[in-house]
Amino acid sequence: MKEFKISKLFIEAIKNQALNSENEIYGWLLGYEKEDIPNVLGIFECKSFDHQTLISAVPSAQEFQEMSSLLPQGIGPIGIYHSHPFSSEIFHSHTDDKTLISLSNQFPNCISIVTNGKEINYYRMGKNNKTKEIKPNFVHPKILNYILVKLNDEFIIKVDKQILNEEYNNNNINIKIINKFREYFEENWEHSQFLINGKQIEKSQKMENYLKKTHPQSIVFKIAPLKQDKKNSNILIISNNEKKVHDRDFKILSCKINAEIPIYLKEENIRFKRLEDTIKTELISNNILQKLFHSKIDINQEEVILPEDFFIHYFGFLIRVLIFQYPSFNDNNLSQKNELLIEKLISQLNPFIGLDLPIIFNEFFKKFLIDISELSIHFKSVSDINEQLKVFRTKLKLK
Amino acid sequence: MTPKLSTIYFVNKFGSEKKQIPFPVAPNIKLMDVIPEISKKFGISSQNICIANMGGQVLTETDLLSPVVEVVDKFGNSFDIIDRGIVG
Repeated sequence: MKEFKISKLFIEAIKNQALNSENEIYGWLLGYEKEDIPNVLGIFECKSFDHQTLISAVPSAQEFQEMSSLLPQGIGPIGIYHSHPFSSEIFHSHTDDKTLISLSNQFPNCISIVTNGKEINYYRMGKNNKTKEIKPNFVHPKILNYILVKLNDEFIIKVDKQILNEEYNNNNINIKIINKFREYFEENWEHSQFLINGKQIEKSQKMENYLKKTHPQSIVFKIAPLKQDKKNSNILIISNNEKKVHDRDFKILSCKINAEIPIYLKEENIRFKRLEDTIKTELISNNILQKLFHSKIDINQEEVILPEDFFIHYFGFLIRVLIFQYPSFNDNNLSQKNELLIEKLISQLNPFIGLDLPIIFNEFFKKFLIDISELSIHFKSVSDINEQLKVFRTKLKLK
Repeated sequence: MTPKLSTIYFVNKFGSEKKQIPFPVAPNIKLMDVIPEISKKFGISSQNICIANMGGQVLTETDLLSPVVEVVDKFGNSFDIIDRGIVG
């Protein structure tokens, strides 16, 4: 029996990467697992390393964090690939074994691919922590369907003026807001509601009826607050002194949170109750808190402004970056990080240059380049990015 | 008197599904002291483990030697847990 599914094009691209580097290359295999079979939908080549030589590689933890944060719930890193440059024999070293054991503890069917640029071998962890060679099934796996969960809510944040004065010039206000929101969501989660067309979803409801491809309405998430102000907003108080109760002691900020999260489903007939933790992790930890971290506090407008979700088709599935809609915010750290990220994403196409692209990949890359072009209008380097995209369109011979 | 426990949250993004574990901890304990338990819970080898906050800042060894209460004030109460995946 074949033990995992991967397109042959990815294998050629991985070999290309290896041949073009004198040092060990490293990358992540992205996909999902169904019926114990890992399905590789995409790859992500590491561009940043803590350490990289001819005989070893330690990828940057920060880059992994950035990359994995882009991925939707249901599709993630399910394996790794790396090279042994100039090696005549392909093998899984002792160091590789230790890493595969660690990764397999987190994802039991984790795959490890090793190449010298010409030959390539595939491994996974067998019984008694012994690595075993496996055989791939060279097909491009089915892209899963997804449900879309949305949150559009307004909050009031009352920040103790003393804290604001002390902390405004550093990032600590954002951290205090993050901590408060985490507490708030954890305390109130049980009272939250998931609605579709205004009606609450039953826990036993099967999700196959709400897939985005057939169901235009999203699932709406509503957190039930402990107390509300007149405008029906949720109120969060940030203060070190519980005795402070008067509005004059606080700066009152409004905060609109919009979030959209696709949840990819390997089993479409899964019941809603089995998805609640999955949604909670994605919504809080991989969306709202990240947005709050990067938010801007506009004291004059009395507003906390959060970046928004922007979706990009990456090998046919959706990945998400955060952007500000306000052009004047384009000088901040998030934008600088995003410009580097766009550069990294575009450069993921490099190893595919010169390869015969199957129709499906031709479509994937076309959509990807269109999305990146749309994203680029939010950044100063828009013309440079579009110039690069033009070069890739030609080099990849996209039809 | 026993100090009130704080809850910190760890998210692991390896695998097709992100998973989150709430972790109650005494605020005066060093974050470094809870890492063996965290690495055990997620199955990550201790030498591979890295911790980053919601903004992608990876915590340094000095940060890990600080008490949890200080780390939470500086970096927040939610962290990604990362396997560095060393190869050779």
